[in-house]
Amino acid sequence: MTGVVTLPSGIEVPVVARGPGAERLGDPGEYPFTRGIFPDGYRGRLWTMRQYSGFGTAEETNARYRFLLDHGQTGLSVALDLPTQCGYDPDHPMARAEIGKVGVSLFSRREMEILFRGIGLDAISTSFTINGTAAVIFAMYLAVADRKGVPRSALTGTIQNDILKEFVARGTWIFPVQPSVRLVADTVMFAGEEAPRFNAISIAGAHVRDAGVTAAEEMAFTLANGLAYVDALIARGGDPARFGSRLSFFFYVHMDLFEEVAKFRAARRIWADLMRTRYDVTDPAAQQLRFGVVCGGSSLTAQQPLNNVVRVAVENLAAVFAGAQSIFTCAYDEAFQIPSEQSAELALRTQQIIAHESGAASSVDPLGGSYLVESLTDSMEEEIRAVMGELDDYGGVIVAIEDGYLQTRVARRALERKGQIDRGERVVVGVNRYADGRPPEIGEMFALDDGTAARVLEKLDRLKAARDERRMGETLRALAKAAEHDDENLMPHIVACCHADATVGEITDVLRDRWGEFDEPVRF
Amino acid sequence: MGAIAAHRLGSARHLGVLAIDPTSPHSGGSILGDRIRIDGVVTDERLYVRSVPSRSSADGTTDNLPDLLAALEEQRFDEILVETVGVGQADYAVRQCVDTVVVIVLPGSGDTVQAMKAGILEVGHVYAVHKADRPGADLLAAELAATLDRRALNGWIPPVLLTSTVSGAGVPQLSDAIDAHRSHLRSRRDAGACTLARARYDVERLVTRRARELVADLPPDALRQPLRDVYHAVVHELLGELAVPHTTTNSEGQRDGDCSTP
Amino acid sequence: MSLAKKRILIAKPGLDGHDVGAKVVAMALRDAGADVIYTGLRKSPDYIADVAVDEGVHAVGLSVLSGSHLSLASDVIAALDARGAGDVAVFLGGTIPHTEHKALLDMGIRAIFTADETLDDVLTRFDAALGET
Repeated sequence: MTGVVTLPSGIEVPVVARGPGAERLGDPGEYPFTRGIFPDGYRGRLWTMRQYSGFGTAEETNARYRFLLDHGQTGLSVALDLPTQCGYDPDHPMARAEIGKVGVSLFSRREMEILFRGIGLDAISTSFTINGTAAVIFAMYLAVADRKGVPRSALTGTIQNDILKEFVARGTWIFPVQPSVRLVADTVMFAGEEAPRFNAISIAGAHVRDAGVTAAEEMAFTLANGLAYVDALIARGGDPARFGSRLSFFFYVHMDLFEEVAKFRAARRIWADLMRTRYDVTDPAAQQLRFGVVCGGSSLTAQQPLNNVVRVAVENLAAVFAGAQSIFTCAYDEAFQIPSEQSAELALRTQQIIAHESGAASSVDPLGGSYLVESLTDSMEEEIRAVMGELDDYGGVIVAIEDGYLQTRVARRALERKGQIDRGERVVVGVNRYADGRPPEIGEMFALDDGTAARVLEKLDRLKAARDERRMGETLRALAKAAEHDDENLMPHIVACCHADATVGEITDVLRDRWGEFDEPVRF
Repeated sequence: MGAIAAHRLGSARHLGVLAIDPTSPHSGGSILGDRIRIDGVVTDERLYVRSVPSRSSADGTTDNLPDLLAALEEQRFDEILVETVGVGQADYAVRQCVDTVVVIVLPGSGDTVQAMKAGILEVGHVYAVHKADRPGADLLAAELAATLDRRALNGWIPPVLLTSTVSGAGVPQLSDAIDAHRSHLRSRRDAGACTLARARYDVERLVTRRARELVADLPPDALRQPLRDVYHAVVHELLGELAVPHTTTNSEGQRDGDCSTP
Repeated sequence: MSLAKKRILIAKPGLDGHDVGAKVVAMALRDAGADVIYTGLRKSPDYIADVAVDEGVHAVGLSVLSGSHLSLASDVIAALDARGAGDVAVFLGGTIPHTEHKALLDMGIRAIFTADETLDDVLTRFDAALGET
């Protein structure tokens, strides 16, 4: 890339600035991608700005989505309620208190149809934050496309589908680790064949980071999980040169600007090297670490909430300097209440100001060559590789998760971080420095009318009364049979169950009966 | 633990479990997380699980294990499972308190029989190589069996089993091995030896613990005296307490603390 | 501090999987000398009450970040009452709107903790509230 950018003063600077040591780094778009995966950075296309929403019933969320799409949004990000995420139907005793909270209730394919009523599945990209039941939700989405006559190959979007980090931080696991990973591999393999434009996994460090680990640990745990998935996919007959280009990653950006930029540059370099040396992958697209980020999360405070606007902006800037492919900015009040329309809009405007006014997106890898950032990138690489080595020595991430080693490490880090903030060693403005003594404002988290649960339960009853039980039973039995064979891909069977109106809980129960549930290790 | 508890409930009318977790030497507090592994597998009205901190005990059990066992036996529990803190430390103590010791070892992380602490090879009546699905499990089991074969005691050769909670494999065999050891105990003439051993251990533990407390409380000046004098002073103190057997010493307070509902 | 040797159950009712806050408080209580029983994720109010009774605890700490705290807390309190363990102190932590504090305290929650206070403050208030019987 040789173009120039003209700054407001009339000075011209190159799109890709180079200096001493540039050869060692490689150009943007070139192995090992330290400086980014695209030769022209954001000049060809800006990052995707995607905001997360979903609540209550499918009807309510559908109305919200149509509003967002009418106002120019091109992608949807679906939040699901906890019963759907954990594989329980709304009438399960554990589910009743949680119906429609934290996300929309999607217990069957018909609910998915309602969610996308009036929305062209081939005209939008849809991201589902779903893990434990990702295979079922993906199957439901495919079944809805089938019924609408949309070819599966036209679908774009993402399911998070990263079960390993659920065991460590987010907690929506269902089955033991090994069969869970098998199910992930099945969805990725199936998507590769049937819906090649759909990303069937987004390997996430975000939640582990937000729980308490350092930036280097966030990257190390996530890359190690990535390797575990690659190994599982190869074991199921996958070719890393092919599926490698469909793997995507997802991280948090926290407040230390330079550390954050360095961690992403280092991680890109490590991943490219691992794909090349461990798996002999030569296609650049399959070597590249593509990632989305969240700005906000646990770096936001309930005290002096407007300070969060500035935090999100700094984190957003770090993500752009680091070359993120997709950015989600939290509303400043999101961590402790339902964001107001004004705060939600401000979150999007933050991204737009950085994209169009700051100049941060005009040059590629604008911090490349900085003495500080390059040496930090090197140190970060060393640190990430050291932590990955520790995990290897332990016996790999799967054993480390089964034993609770990783979970314990995260909890201990969280305690350390809390201590640092309590003692004022880590400054948080408005909390342990320049605090004003006013109590934090924590408002409603999920405003639902009391009727939501009742309406969902009524719909479940109606579904059960209307469906063809015999046909549904056959599809569930076929799934159970397939689950007995380790080498059979379960996805076609789960899609068939969804077509036959089996519920999330019923489909999950078939696999629970076969595989059991994760035996949560408690170690401190 | 959950799997074996579930299996034992098949024949026991009431099953008690004491799950011991370590006490932090710094704070004296503890986190007791063992019971969820049991509850995750079996919930049954006939099963009672009590989580117990190890307190000042450094032998893998807890300060008042004999009392807890006696209290549960009074409540007519047919069988009591004791889960000690961990293999590395459980040696002599637990063997004095129970009929059958099951030692659970895990494959991996370079464990070989040679590397095991000698105590582990002497304490168990039954050995289970757990997480049998992991690499190295078969080899470890074979090595263990070969070593234990040479260590028969009172006509009992400790069996070595492979178990896995993933597949549930080996659990019935483990349960059978426990029963076999029990029959073996019954067939021996000194069947009451266990009760005696526990009583002996109980006394020994109480005395050593109280002695340790007394030594810890000694003022610096006392420690500058000749060893013989300090020793006499401590023994004197210990004997002096005989006159008032149920004072509210630390030991007494702790003995009562764990088994009562506040 | 009188938290030493107190038996405290830290529990995650409902389906919320965010357990770091609960684990941090469990570790802080341990470091203050308490014996802490931790339930792990996804426990029903009945299970939590059963464990509280079996283990003879002085207090139960509930952690909820999913917005379902009102119904879950009231179910746990009712389940304890039904087992004759109404004297066990129940605490609540997580993302709890200030507007709901009064209703929760009226319902019988002994104290409410949020992420913005220091652990020392949490322990001090825990200890003080445990002292009121």
